[in-house]
Amino acid sequence: MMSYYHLPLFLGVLSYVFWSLSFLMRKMFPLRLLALASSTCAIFYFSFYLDEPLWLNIFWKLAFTFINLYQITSLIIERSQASFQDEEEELCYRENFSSLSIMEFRKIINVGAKISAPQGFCFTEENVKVKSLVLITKGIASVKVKDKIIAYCRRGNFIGEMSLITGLPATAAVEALDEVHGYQWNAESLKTFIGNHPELRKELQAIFNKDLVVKLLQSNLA
Amino acid sequence: MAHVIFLLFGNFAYLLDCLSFSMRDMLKLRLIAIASSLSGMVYFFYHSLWLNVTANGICTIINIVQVGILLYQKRELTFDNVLEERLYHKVFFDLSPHQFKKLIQSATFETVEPGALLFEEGKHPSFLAIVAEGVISIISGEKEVAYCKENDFLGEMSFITERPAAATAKAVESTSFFQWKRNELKVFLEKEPAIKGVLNDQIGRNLIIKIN
Repeated sequence: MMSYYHLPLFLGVLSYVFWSLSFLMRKMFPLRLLALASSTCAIFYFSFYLDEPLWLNIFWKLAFTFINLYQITSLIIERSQASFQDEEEELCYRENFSSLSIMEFRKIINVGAKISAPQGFCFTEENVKVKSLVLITKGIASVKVKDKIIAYCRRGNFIGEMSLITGLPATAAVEALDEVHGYQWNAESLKTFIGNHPELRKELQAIFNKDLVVKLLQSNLA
Repeated sequence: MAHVIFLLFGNFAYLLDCLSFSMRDMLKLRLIAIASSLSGMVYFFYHSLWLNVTANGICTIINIVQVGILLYQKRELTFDNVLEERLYHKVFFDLSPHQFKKLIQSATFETVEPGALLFEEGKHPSFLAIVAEGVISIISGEKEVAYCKENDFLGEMSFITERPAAATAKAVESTSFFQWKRNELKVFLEKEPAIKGVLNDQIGRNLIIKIN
């Protein structure tokens, strides 16, 4: 049977077990929970194992506990807010961003803004640096090279993603043929966001690739 | 005095711990973690906390082994042939030498004669390939719509969309390429997210070149 003497030691061992397990986690939420469990056990261990509490360790473990509690709370709040604002947003998620979690999708959407561009609006100009990325949710835009229409961008197509990927000026002019609705992201803000969220960079590239395939098919058929 | 010095070791261990968490470079992270666990060992040794001394000792050993593995993986790359070397410098330069070796070892190197059919319109290509040498004609219906040359991907559209090929691919001249079996590559990439990211980037760039 475990005596009072052995309990703090057991908690000390348990704190290392939780700590080791946390390194095996790939998702942030279980990782934080295990880290929290580890530091909580360690606080009891450092408080009761020796005759005198080890304040240095207790202080640091308390700091880690608060950090993890804060992060867990933030994650829970983020998750609770992970819902769609309207039908258009939900459709946009299902059609273009379904490889992301709703929470990740919301993060990306929050960096951009909804737009409504009138007929004739110029999204990009040939050989001019692209300042923003646009995703069309409604309407049609023409893609022109030397004033000749070579393709059309419709619902689910991105505008400006090629320049965003290559860093080069636009290779074509894109103009709204009727009122175009969609989402717009400032290129620099999006680049900063991607830099801060490397895990989303890969997913976004995969989403762009799907759109590029559609565009390549169109250009082959033209 | 001794008490203060050991207290410093204790604080230093935790500070290094925090610093290691902010690192993105794995080698730096491991090195700082080693310094942290060694400092921790000194501090816990002073307090005769053998559980912690042992745990920190195990951590140090694990991290030393990991540093050794990382340094081994970073050693200079030797290429099997000129085509492999060119592929690394022109397409997969964002991969570490070790990652590139892993990717290329999962591929096979194939050479086909002029007129060889690589995949047919309406059928699922079983592979993703990248042309190393030669020219491949892309035919949609009866019409030749494009050519795939050196460093162009082949079968990437079906690889992305999971749909049948939108065109037929036929070798115009003797053509060599690195080829990955589609299903095997997908399993491989799930285990290697960093390589998957670079491969996606390069497929995207190649698609843009093809569109333009």
